[in-house]
Formats: sequence, C-alpha cells, structure tokens
Amino acid sequence: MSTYIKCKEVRQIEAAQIQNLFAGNIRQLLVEADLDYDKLYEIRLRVGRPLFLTYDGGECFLRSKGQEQYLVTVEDLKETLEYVTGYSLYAYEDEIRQGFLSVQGGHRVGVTGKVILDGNRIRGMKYISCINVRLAHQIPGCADEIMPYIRTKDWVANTLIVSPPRCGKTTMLRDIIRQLSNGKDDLPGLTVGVVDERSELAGSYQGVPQNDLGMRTDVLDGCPKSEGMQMLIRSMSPQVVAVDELGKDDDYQAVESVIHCGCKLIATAHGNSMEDVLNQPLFQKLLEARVFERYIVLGKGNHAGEVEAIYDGKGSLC
Amino acid sequence: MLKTAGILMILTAGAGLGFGKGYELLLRERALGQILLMIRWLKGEICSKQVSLHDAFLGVAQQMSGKYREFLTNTAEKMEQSAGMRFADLYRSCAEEVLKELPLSKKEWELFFTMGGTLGYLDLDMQKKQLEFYEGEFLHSIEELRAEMPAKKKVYQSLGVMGGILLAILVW
Repeated sequence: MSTYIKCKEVRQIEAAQIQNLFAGNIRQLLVEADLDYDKLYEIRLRVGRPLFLTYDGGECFLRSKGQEQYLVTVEDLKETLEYVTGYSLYAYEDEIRQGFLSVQGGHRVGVTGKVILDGNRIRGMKYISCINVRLAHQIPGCADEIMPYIRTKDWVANTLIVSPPRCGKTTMLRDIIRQLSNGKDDLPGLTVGVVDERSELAGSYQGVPQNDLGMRTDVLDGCPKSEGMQMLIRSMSPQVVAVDELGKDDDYQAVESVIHCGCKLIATAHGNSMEDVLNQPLFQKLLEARVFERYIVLGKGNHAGEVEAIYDGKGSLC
Repeated sequence: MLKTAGILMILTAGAGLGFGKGYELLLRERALGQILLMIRWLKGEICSKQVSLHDAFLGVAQQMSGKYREFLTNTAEKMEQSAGMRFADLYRSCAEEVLKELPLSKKEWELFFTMGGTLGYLDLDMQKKQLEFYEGEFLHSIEELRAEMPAKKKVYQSLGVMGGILLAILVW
C-alpha cells in the first residue's frame, strides 16, 4: 500500500511575529527579502556564517542589496536570544539545557553552544553559537486516510507511527490527536491526554498550546514521557494517551500502565521500517505483549507524510 | 509699610527655599526606599517564582503604587508590544518617561539604568546576584543619605534663613 495524502497545509504565520524574534540587522534583511512565510521552514544563524533559510523546498542565504552574503555575528545571536526568550533567559534555563525552546506561535528555537557539565549532568549552555528557528506547521486532515484503520465508533486502536526523521510523524500524530479529540460525523470526541516532552506536538508557549490539538485535549508540557503518562492517568483520566517518540527502556512500564488502565495509546517511533523499530528491545517487548494494534509506517517517497504501509498487531498488512 | 512687607516676603522665601531643599532630601530617601522595595519584589518574582521578566514586572506592579506601578506596567506592556527593541533601551525609555521627576542623584540614576541592562540576560543564579548587588548599592545610598540628612537639612535650612536675612539687609 502506498498512499499519498493530498491535503492543503494550513500555516498562519505572521511575518512580524517571526521577524521580531531576530536581532535588528537580521530583521532588516528578512524585511527587505520580502519572503513568502508560507514557504519558509527554517532560519539558521551560525556565528561567522551566512544566514541560511530553508525556503520553498531548498536552501538559500540572505544578503543585503548589492552586498556580499550577511555573516551572523555574536552580537546578533545574543540579541536574538534576548528576543526569543522574551528578555528572560533565566526563565528558560531548563529548555536551554534540553537545547530548544518554544516561542509564541508554536515555533521552535534550537540552540547549540558549549555545554556546561556538572558530573554527567548537563547544567546549562554557554557561548551559544547557533540558533535554528523552525517554523511550526500544521496539516489538518493529513490523517484522514488512516483514521478508518485506527478508529471506529466504539473502538480505538493502540497505534504506533513509525517513520524516519522529517517524514511527518509528529504532524501526523498531531492530526490524529485533533481528530480523536474533536470527533467527526458520527464518531464522538474523546478525551485525549498528551505528554509533550519536547513541546513539539502542542508547541506550548507559557503553558498554552499554540497548535490545534482538539477541544478535549489536555497537554502536559515539557514532562518526561514515562512520568507524564502516569501523571495524566492519575489526574486527567484520559480515554486516549498520546506521546511522541517512544524508545527509552523506562517507557515500557508507563506504556503498560496506560494499557492496563483501559486507556488507548497513540505513539510515534523513529525508524526506517518496521524491522528497524522491532530491533529495538522496547518495541520487541511491546510486540510480544501485543500492545499495539496498528503500526503505521511513513516514508519519504515523493513527499513527507507518505504512508508506506499499515500493519495490524500481528504484523500483517491491513 | 510696603518695604516691611517686601522684607517679610524675602525672609519667608529664603526660609521656604531652605526648608524645601531639606524636604527634597526626604523625598529622595522615599524614592530610594521604593526602588529598593521594587528590587526586592523583583528578586522574589524572578528567583522564587521563576517567571518571565514580563510577568515579574506585572507581578511587582500589583504591589507598588503611583509612578512606580505605572513604570512597571508600561515596561511590561512595551516588552509585549515592542519586540525587536533591546531590554536595556526599553527599560531606560520607560524610566525616563515615567520616573523622570524622581529626585535621585546622577549616580543613583546611572545605577538604576545599569540595573535594567543586566535584567533578563543571565541565568537564575547570576540574576539573583545582580539584583542583590543593586539591592546593596541602593541600600548603601539610603544609609549614606540617612547619615548625612540631619546635618544637610540643617545646613539647607540655615542657609535659606540666613540668605533671606542677608538679602533683606541688602534691600533695607
């Protein structure tokens, strides 16, 4: 089975909101460049390097009119960091430690620099030398084709979405959550609990989800998955629990607790194929325990979000 | 008759000037006290609650009154609206706009503006240390002012009265 899901990507990006995240010099370049923000995916700042954009499926860099390409300075980075943290770098220490933070609009700002270690624990980061702003995008309806495989009127399948990086598994999961939460036609909406460890699913900014995850969705932002799943069950009694990127050994217990509570689980995992994922001990155990009833494998194909195959719990094609 | 009235007015004006100058010292002490209070509230909001600078300013604004509340609220609003402006500039422009009438010395104004430049762009530990540093500096200013206030007050008042008398004698 190979289905290309045709749907229009919905992006409501305010140019000014993005431009104001950057230092004066860079903001000026972005304004002068007169970009179509619907086609803009990433803006990368690296000290002493050109300002790169992932734009319209390709890569380009910005330059002032009639000038050489603009080289990013340390001062630009420092100023940009001031804006993306809302003048409150200290309030984002935990996020910086993880290497990224979410800003208004659900956009993600990744940072790299010199990591400060305290024993084996990352205490913080200094000399930040690279900032990558990834613009959030949602594709409502991208899960339309697979919903009949994972949801009927009185049944929801425990589902694992498998795909390599940048193939749309988070976008797919986001739309599944939205559809389960809102319900559709004769399918009632369900209470969905989301553990958003990396603030990528909901794109929460100051605790408020910036992406549409549906009207019956509760989001636990920035919480480790294993603890978060159990917290959600105890506190919010969800019918469905959704998490992004399962894979750690201690996730197993949390998954078990979700299943044993009668909740349904929708999750994603990194992997090029089913075999690739099942080579990981966690997923081997989950397969043996027949936890997942559907495996959805995404591939790059012609476009991100292409469904390569849908398997049932026994590993047979649906 | 008119001459006597004029002399009396000169004497009153001289004394008033001296007492007014003395009262200014009291106002300066109050202003420094309010700034110190503001720094302590800010420290609490930032270090204990770990909220963003915007929320910290709004939180402290609830505890303060008058011009100080206006300054904090305006700065918080500008943080929201004027993205793309460095905090130090934003803080300074709000202070110059709202607090310009505070009777602070040049050194105290500089201290107040420099403090704005260090807010936000540091980790929590450094943020705390910076605020404690400015807290100490302003506390020192208050103590210094309190120590010299009685003597200074007396000097201003005496100078005012004596100046008035001198002018009265000259006019006489």
